[in-house]
Amino acid sequence: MPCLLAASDDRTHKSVSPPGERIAILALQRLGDVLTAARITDALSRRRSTATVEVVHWDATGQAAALLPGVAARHPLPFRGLRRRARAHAIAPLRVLSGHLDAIVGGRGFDRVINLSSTRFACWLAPTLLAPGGTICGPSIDDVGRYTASHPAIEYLNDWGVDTARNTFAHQDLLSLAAGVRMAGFAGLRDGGGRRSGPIVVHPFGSERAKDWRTPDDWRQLVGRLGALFGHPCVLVGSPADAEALAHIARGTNAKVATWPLAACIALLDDATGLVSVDTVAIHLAAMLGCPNVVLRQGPARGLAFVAGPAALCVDAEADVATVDEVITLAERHFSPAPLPLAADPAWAVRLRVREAFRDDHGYLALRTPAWCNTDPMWSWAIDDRSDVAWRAAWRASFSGEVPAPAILETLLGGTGRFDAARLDALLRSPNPLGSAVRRAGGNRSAA
Amino acid sequence: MTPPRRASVLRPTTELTAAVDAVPEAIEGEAAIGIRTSGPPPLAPTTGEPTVVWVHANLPGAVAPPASFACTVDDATRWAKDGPPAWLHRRRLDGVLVQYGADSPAAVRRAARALRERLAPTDVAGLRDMARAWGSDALLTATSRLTGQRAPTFADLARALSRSDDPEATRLARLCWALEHL
Repeated sequence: MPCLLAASDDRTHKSVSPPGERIAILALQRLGDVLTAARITDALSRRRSTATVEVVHWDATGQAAALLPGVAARHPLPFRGLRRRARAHAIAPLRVLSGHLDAIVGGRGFDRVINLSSTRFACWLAPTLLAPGGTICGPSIDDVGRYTASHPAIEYLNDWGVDTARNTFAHQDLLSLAAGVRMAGFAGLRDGGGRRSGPIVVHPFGSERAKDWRTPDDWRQLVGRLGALFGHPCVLVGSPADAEALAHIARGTNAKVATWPLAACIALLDDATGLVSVDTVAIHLAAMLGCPNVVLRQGPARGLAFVAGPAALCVDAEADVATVDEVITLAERHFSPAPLPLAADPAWAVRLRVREAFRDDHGYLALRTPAWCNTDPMWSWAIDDRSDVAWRAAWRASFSGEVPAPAILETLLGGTGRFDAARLDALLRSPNPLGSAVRRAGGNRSAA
Repeated sequence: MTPPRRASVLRPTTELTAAVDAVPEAIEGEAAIGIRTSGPPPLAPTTGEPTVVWVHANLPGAVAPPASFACTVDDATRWAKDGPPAWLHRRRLDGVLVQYGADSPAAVRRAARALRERLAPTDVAGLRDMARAWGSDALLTATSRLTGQRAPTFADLARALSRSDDPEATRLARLCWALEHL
């Protein structure tokens, strides 16, 4: 088990006012999103040119901010306090926010501000942290009120990244790219690896009801059967507000309930055999610890935006939600050290889209239908996977300021995946350089 | 189940303060003169939350919200008329919320409204007074540009601040735009 906090603190003991860049990471996001900043804080803090990396976050996400490696200082802003003060009069939150920023900036300001949030609040705030001559990575609003993306990946994130059908990148990768951090090279927070012998951890409730999977009775059945299958009771985790609902699920299954802080959950997931979860903070923590996880994704959670890490098996509800039997089969397959045969099931293949996460040759997180799913290569999921590969290649070239190879543009123009038509239509109307390239390629094709 | 490490409790402990019987005698400008208070010391302003004054009618069964200062109708009426105690007067700059129970009688509501107007003014004159109390010249100048009767929004303040070349006004305008979108 790594001593995360100690590792972080070690790097904070640098000499007073060391030469180099003072960097602020503006992570005014939810818990899970704040955790995904780990790769950025870790990479930047290791650079010779960096003096300090400091994180500005909401006070409610202090637990996640505390886990980020390489951070010299954490500055919580009172989200609820600001909103409540605004109910008194306009000057109250203004004075409090101004005071907080004065304390954060100090006399010097930051040489670089990396904004990981696209909210207008964060975009307006980011420039106030800058030292004279400093630079902003990520979105911001300039002095005359214009939105500035600062990087093609952020433009993509805002235009395409929020659409589950059109987007083909994980948000954390786009933000890392804009921050100038390499895609590969972050080993996560687990030391050494080794066999996992702990319980199956189950996180049933996410931040939105739209992401929930089936009923508490189904969860109870799942927890009971998983416990019996793997030989020891499951552990149900969630926020203290979910304690009663978790106890209801655990009743009669021997499962244990743990409504712990994130730091305590690290020890649990570090040794856990696996995690079954909806799309929420637990999958990001599991990803950083290399814990295999089966993510049951519904509605807005599907697609590539929120892929947590390579240890994930994403089960997306397409025509219907996965049944208890299907989740157990997939969990057994994903959590077992030795591969288990999986019977072909045409009904299942139509109803669910099962994909494993991986890092592609360029280090970006991606999803693909696993070979053991016995999917027909001409089935739509397989066609969609191939479409994703082509679109990712095109955008990757665009992020680097290059024009994609003609073969890739041809693939985009002739795509037959479910989302190809919508993607192409949006791109043809886009002022983006990639849009221009595709329009040119389309024109040449028509002329020929 | 016991957590393996760092098993701190997530939920903050609630704190219910006793009623405050502060009796103000005179308020002059921003300085409280001759204030005599018999109430408990105020909460240290470290929680990030604004001060909450909860007005009640001393009826049985009424429970003040956690971490609020309970205040009777008589106190609220007196504070609204003659000025709040010094500790409360100091806190109005950082925001004071005056609240009451949903089933409170009309007298409580009237007293709370009056106290709210005194402690948390939202009109232009009130904001100007707050700007003066804060000591922010940029904001004072900006509020002098505001007109109209309605409560100015953050956007109104930001626009007024943007009309100055003062760097501090520019910075505050940016913060106002940020708060407009919080």
